Amino acid sequence: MAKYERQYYNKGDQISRNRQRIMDPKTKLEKLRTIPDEGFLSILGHRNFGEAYKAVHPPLSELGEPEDPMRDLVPPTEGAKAGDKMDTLVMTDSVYDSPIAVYLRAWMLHNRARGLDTGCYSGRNTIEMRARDLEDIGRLLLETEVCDVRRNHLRQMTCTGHSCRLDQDGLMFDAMRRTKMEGTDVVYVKSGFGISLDKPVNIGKGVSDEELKKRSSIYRYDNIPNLLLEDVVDPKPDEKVSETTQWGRRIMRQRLYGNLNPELIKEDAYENLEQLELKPRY
Amino acid sequence: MSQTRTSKENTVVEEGRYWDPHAVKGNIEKGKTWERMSIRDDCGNMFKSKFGDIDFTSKNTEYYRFNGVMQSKRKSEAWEIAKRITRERGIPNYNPDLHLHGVQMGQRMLQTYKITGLEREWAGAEDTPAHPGWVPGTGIYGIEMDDVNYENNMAMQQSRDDISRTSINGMNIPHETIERRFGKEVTPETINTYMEMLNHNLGAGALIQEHVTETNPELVKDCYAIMFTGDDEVADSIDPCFITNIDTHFPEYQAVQLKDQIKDKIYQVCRIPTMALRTSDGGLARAWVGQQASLAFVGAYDIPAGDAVTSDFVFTIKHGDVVFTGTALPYRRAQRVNSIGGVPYGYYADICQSSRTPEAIKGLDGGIDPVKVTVEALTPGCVLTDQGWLHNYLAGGSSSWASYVMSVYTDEVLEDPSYYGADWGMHHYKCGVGEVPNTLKNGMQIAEVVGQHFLASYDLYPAMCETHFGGSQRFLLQCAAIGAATGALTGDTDLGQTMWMYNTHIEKEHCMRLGFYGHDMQDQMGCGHNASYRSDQGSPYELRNMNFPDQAMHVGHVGGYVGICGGSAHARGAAYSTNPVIKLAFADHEHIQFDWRYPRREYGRGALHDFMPAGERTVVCPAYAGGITANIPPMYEKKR
Repeated sequence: MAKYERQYYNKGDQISRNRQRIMDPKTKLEKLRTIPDEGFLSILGHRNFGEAYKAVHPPLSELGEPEDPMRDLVPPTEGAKAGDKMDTLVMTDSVYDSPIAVYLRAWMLHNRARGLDTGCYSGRNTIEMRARDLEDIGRLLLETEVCDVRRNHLRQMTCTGHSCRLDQDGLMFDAMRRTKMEGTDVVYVKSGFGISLDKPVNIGKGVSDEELKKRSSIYRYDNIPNLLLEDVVDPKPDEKVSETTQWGRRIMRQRLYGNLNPELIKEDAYENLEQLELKPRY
Repeated sequence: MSQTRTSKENTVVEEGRYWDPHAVKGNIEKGKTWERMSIRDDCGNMFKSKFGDIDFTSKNTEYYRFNGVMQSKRKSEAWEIAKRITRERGIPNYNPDLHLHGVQMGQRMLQTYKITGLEREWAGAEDTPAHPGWVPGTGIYGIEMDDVNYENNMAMQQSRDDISRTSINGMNIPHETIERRFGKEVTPETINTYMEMLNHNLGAGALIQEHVTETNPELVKDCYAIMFTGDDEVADSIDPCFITNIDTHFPEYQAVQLKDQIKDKIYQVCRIPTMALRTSDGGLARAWVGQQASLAFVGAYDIPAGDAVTSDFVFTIKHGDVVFTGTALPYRRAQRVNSIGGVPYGYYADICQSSRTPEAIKGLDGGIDPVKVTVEALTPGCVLTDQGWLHNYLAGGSSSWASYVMSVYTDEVLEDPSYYGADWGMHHYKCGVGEVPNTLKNGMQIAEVVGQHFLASYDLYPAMCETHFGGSQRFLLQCAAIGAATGALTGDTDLGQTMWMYNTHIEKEHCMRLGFYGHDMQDQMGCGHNASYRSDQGSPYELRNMNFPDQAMHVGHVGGYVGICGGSAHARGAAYSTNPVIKLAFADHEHIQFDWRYPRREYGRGALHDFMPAGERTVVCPAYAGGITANIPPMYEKKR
């Protein structure tokens, strides 16, 4: 029997392949920039450069933990070992050909990191981790290909803007104007909390709009769409629509059948739908 | 539920003939192909009113040059008022400069809105300084966000008050008690006397007490009692001023169904004073009416006050055959019956009376227009469950939340995809509304058509996406439109709601985002739960309310369920969604303060400051002259 290999997502089109790459922990994400420690910490806004981490409990080695087999199975993260306090990072993603979007970031983090709690809103991810673990992940989120400096911003509060039009430089709207363009580079002039920085932090140049479309993880009707007009107005069976549409249809049917009558899952097929009424008309 | 089929004109019904969903096909021309409608016929005007002359297909615009809150008439007015209050009280008040470490709201253009359904002729005045540039016949643009804030909009508050202050009593049990226990005869004359006495003492007067206080009738003029019955003979014998005439209020096919359900029962509908309600909660309505109706019975039938039989009788009035608009809430929510948090979605759908308006009856296929019914019922559903209940009462606080649901009743954005889906369905399935077989396959096909239309609209019209700047708004609109179209075509509420849940997957896989945090729970598990046999997961939507486990904090969305309950019922030819008593209790638009036939129009009038609420205390207050101390007579001013 062939060994099961997790697929992470379908490979039907460029968008889904991009999603798959990001979610698959075996794929090494391309590093596009390096932000100096001082600049990175000032954007994050939790700790000054050179300041020690604040702890909420002594290091685990000093704590004297009780015997528990789960503790052997699940090794603590570096932040947990040291007793760091929890910190939060909030990322905002534009709807315009962003290389990552909220659910994808959550799935990516669950596959690539441990010890985190993340929440998905429409425009932002909140990511909670131990302080030093969060800083490691923050670098992954800001320095690699999953961040375009114009479309993915670190904003600890007031995140609206993901669905607003872009400004003339292609930068996301930000009511607090934490970022601005200097030539072709994007510069953070305020921390994620909107506090003015003593030293602005240049995080480099974004990729071109054409390149963004190739790297995008979002289906769009001005790039690659998912549901095609001709497929929906003249309804097509599963095998004739995109894999992502098949995926959505299948989740819907399986969840419904699972609660209605799990036996029906065996019969799940597009052509069988005709016979399966939810309930008689009342 | 009665399922009498409507005729094409929707005014004649063949009595006794039950509706066969496949017997009558829609009058779709054979061979006519369906053509894609424009995404928004009116989008040019809408975008112009919001953003000026822009290319609304462009992704790029200019920001940060709009002079903050000073671009908004409402917000700049508020700032001036707050400065005066600060001067008078000495404690700082509203100050836009405190926003975001000194960054005022309005770094982008603060949009204005058009309330759908509020046409030019409904405005109470010609152009006003607040709303210049109305375009006759095309609706009123230029409503500011603040105008539909729950605290600023008197119509929104009144719609809540009118639900909570309504008490409905079945009269047959009290009448039997009077005849059997007291040996008195109940006749049309005694009923008229009773109603006259009740309308005297329900708000203002005393009936059997002596040397007691009474209330200024001007304060409680919104208080009254009427009746309805399904028996034409009984209705004819009672003074017409006390009766809601079902025949004149409803089209015939609906009237027949309603009378068939009510039969010879008589119901009394009382609205207690808005002012009294506002000092308590909805539970007051039952107690208030129980007390006053008992006294009216004592007065009208000469019943001895205070004996044991009278106690039984009072118990009957207060507790026997009382229909509440909403159930009592659990302890942690701490409100009694009739609270807007306890109103079932099906009741909300029945309270809305748009299904009997000429606008809804000139329908999609020549009959009823279930999409119209859906979007009209959906509006008070969203306003009351979200603005009024979740955000105002449960979350606590008045600001910012109107923008969450205002997208459903502004700019005709919801109508466009809903009609698009219904129009496609009638062509594709070659039948009329309510006639498409309610299979999962059909539902998913309709959902994909509407979902594609909506997603394409947002992608190709970036200004529209900016208008609905929160993903929750876009998610709500798309789900509601899919539910409206599916419910309208199949007449099946549950299928409409289930396709709402399917859209969760369509939108999530397309955009990689949905809305508010909580939608992960309710909407993604919703498709499973809708098919569950467990009562805390799979109850019919008509019977759910805001305390149902899946919906207890379902921000922004539950109003949509209300609309789908209403639209689907009318699509299958029913005269009501859930309870004919509720439908009839809110039919008296000539008396009730908030006109439930046109909820959107009423909210629009509230936004224009053109809606007069009930419960005003002006008659016993000094004339308002502005300022927090302006009304206090000098002698008290000195003591302060």
